[in-house]
Amino acid sequence: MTTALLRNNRAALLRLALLIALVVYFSVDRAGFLDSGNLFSLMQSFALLGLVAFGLALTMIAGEFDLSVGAMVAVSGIIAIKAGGSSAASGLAAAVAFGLGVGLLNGLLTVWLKVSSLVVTVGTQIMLTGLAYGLAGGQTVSYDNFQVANDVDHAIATVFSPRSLVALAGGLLIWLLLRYTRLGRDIVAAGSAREAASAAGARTRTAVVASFAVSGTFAALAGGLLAFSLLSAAPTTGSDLLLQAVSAAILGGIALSGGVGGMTGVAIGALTLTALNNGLSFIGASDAAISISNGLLLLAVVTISAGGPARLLELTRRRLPASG
Amino acid sequence: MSQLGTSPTLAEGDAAAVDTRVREQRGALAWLRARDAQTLAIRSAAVVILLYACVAVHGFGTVDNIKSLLQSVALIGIAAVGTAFVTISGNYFMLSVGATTAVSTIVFAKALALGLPLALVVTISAGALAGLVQGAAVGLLNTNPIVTTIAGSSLILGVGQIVSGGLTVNARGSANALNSTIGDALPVRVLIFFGIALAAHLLMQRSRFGREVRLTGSNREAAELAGMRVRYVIVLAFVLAAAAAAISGALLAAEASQGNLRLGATFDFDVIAAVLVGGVAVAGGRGSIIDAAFGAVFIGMVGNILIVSGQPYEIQLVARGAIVLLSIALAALASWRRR
Repeated sequence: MTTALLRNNRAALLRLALLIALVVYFSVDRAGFLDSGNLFSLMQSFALLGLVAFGLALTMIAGEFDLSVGAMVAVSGIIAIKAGGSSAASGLAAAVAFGLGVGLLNGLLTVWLKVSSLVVTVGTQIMLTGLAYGLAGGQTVSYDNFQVANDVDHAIATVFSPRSLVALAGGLLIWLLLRYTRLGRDIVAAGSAREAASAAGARTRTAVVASFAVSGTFAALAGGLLAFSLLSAAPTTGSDLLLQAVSAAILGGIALSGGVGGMTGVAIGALTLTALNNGLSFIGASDAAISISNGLLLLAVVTISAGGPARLLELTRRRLPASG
Repeated sequence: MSQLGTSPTLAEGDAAAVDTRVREQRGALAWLRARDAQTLAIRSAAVVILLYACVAVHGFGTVDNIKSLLQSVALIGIAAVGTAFVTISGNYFMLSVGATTAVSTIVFAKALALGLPLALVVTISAGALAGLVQGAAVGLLNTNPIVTTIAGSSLILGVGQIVSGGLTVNARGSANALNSTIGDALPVRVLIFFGIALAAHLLMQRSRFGREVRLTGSNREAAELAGMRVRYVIVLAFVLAAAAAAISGALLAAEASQGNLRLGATFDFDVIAAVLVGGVAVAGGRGSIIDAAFGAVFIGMVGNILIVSGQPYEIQLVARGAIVLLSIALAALASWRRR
């Protein structure tokens, strides 16, 4: 028990250390990395990635996976602009309602059909991409409500904006859900030992549906707010978001097998990834370097979390006498 | 099978999966019996839609249109046939197919100066190498295939950006042989698609490797206990999938006579759609290679009918999404019936 606790804390400390090391490295390499202006833009990236990662991570804690978050960000941005003709608030409400609806559909199909949520969400991802192209007519949709960009992006306490505060609030909300509610405990139970939890009376099916509803809602909220911030939305938005959100979640200690991890970890994971990408472009690294470092980071993290290094050792040890 | 029968950990469902494979090989009636409700539904739908379109949709049932239909699905079909190995081996999909195809267009365009045969060898080898790395991670280190291939996609695109300098690479040299049409009726790329589908199907149904892929997918522990080369099988499945994606990329580059990271960008989900609609079970172990090829043709056919009858491209995408969701539901129902 004590050793397990120690191990968990050690992982959390390692994550924090990685984030701090990155920040120190970039701020030593380039003066200005820790300027308020750059910290603000760092938090702006976090506003998108954090919100999506929190939702995706919740489905992963429930032992499922939401592949449709990238397409959801794209389509909800288009919906927010298309439906926001008269007022931005109603546009955002429409986008969020749509996200909630599709999230519920993802969850219900997963528990009703008893198939892997990977398959269900790959289906909705294809559907949503089609819808995004359909709604946008294959083009970038622009928004002429210039006021709204300022509404969502103006600086609060120098480094925050309403958009990034929404992301932080979203993370806090799931943290509270997991810590203090029965639904939260059911979500963790659904991910760690679903059959046993079901038998013990946990509402695991409700938990799975709820996790997808949250994931869809958060992705839609992130997409809508992003569209307002950019004053435009395109069907291709968010194509690399899935990679980053998965990286943030796994880096944050969420296990692919479910039942493990929390929102503080995901927040640190998302911040680490944002710091890495922001820092790399800050020091003038090429797109190729950013893409490769993201890929290597995710590959390393997923290998380590699968017990890869130990397995590699075992494989080579078994190989050696055979070949010798 | 007798080997497996002695294994105490083998569940009943897996024995059934093995039986299906044996039955699949004999006679038309047995073939029909062994099909899932989903595969049958999709196939009947295909026939009905095909007949309807030939009669009712003006301009569908012409030789030229059928030719262009097959030509449009050939590339997705080739990549889907490769991906089916990964899916049947129980490792879901490769989310790096699009990246592999895109980067392969660049590799091919660059290598075409060496002549067509060598350019093909270089492109396919590069693709196979990418598959080897991802397959090694999944097969040897037990990493999650979805996340590994998401990471792989980012790595491959990064390498592609370095190779291309982020620019479009114009092909220097002629790849006309790949764009030509044999006897005015059979485009070379369609011939390649059919050839690869047939070869892959035979590999799956007749070879030791194919049987091992299927058993690894239906029950990895049992396959391991039975002494099968599970790790090697998974690595090779990824290599085949990536090599197939690279062939698609080469054909795409030959058509555009350039390499570009935007080419093949939609391949990831096009290919997954084909595999799902074709009826390859994502849980692994079930479905055949031809199913994936068929899925690609079916989706292409519906899209073609919508285009020929004057619907916008976007409707095609929405229809494809609906078809995929419907086949997922049908597949789930079919798997209940089996239980």
